[in-house]
Amino acid sequence: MTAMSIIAALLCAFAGLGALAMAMARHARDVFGRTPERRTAWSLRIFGMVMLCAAYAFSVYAWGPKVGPVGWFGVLSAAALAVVTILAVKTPAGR
Amino acid sequence: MKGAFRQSMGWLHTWTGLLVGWVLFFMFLTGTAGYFDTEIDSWMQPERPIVQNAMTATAAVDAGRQYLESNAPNAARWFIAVPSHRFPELRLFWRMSPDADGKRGRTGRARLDPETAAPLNYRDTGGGQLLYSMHWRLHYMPVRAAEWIVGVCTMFMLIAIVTGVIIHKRIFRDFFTLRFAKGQRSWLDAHNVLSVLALPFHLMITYSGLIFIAYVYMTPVITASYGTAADAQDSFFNELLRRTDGASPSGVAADLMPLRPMVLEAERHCGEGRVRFVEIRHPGDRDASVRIGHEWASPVRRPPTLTFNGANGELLRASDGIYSTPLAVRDVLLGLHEGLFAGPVLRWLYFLSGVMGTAMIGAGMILWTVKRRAKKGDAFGFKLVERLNVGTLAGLPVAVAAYFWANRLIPVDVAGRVAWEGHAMFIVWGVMLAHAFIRPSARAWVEQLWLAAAAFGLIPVLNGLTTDKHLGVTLPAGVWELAGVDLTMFAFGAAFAFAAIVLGRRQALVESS
Repeated sequence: MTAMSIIAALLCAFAGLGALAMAMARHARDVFGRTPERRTAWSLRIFGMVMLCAAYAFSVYAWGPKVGPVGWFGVLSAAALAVVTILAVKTPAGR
Repeated sequence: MKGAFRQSMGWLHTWTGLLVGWVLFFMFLTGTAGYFDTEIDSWMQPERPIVQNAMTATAAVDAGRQYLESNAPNAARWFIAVPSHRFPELRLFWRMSPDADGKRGRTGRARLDPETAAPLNYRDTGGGQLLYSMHWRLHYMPVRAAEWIVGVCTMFMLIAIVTGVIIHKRIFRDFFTLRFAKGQRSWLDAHNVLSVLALPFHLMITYSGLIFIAYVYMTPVITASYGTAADAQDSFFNELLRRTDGASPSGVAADLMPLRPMVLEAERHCGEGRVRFVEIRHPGDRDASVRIGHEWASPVRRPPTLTFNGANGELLRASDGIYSTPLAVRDVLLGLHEGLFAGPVLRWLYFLSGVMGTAMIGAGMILWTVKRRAKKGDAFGFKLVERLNVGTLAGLPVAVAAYFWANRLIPVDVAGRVAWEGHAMFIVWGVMLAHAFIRPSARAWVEQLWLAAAAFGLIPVLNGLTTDKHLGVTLPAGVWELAGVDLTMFAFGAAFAFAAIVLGRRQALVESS
């Protein structure tokens, strides 16, 4: 159960940070070829924040109330590193 | 005004970072390895049997007591560490009474087989502990001197982090930005991303690192209230930790009660299988005390304990490990720094953050040279930094790999084996630095990166040739503590090879154009 919640926390953090990145003009352009509309961008931002909260909830569920917050920071760092790596590979050369 | 402020912060960031960058790189690298210190310990003692069933706490105290009674009957303090998943052996420690002239008593330690309770003797090795302790004790110098050097460097690191946040103008807009193959821009991106993504870790590890040794840096604070007498520090700590009982024995003999009921009582408090240590003060005295500690289940470093009267078995008190708020704050900071409470996944996340910190420092050091190469490429200072960068950023990893090689290649019965493992590391680092100064720096980078790739990548092979605890055995048996070391080494080898290939191609392009 612990393992499943940790995986869930990582996935939520990845989805959340990915959505936040896609709400940004530069990264959206690199991935989808166009910038998001204002409303889409706001939806992505809200979805991203909700997912980060979900990641927090899963972290606390997995590790308990004392270690959970520590785990959440670690989960965020790892997920953010994954998002950055994917975006860096996806970015067209020279941009 | 704002521009001037940012500029001066930028100046501070650049020069504090550069001045101590190499020491910080060393501290981050060895400290990060320290998150897997016990795993490296096991890897470095391949004679250790693979333990399937851990000893129960009750069996451990019985076996431990029996050993201590016959080998250290007059000790002032016994310590029995109950085997756990991360520390599968039964570890014992004791300290004799102080000498007549007041010197602290001699200490001894032993390790017993968790299945048969027979004493264990493995090869002497510095293990993960030596590597880990280098990140604050350095090497080849007295502890006090090292603590001051480390303290000054850590303070510089803290300044670099704070100024770094101030001068990073677009911390949110560039949060995910990493652009490859854009020269200086790419190095700045990498430095920024590695800093920002693990910023909570970097801040925590740096600040708590200072707090760790604050008693050394700020002794006047203790002196102000406790004076300068020889025992001033002792009485400060005794008060701080409320060490009121068991300070001195009564001198009246009394048999130590059986420990098993106390351990069972403790397990009723904290849950079965969660007792981590039993500490007995003045065994055999009327004022003997038995303190039983539970598993670290939170970042508070001081574990919850139960204390019993050793002569009649009465429960004296239960402590949740929190004595006062300031001490608890310190314990949390230290606990967060060490991460002893971390299970396997969190341990890996700690390790990842540490690797990011190490890489952040490396990227920053390289950025300094990339920024200045065109203008100041011929200056002495520039060349010095560039060469120190090669010899440290690529050379130190080679030296750490050499430490692992030394563990396998130095014969088991050589006297001073532990010292030579350490010497091997620093000799290789010295050679790498010398190589960096002799060769043209572009060539030196590629050569040392390839050397690092080979040194790390071949460690699983070396392990396979020299021991029977290689991947062919550890993977099928699912011994991830050992297999993980081999696989991680291989992964580092692959990463260094990748860096060497990319850099080599870039240089081939430059030369052909």
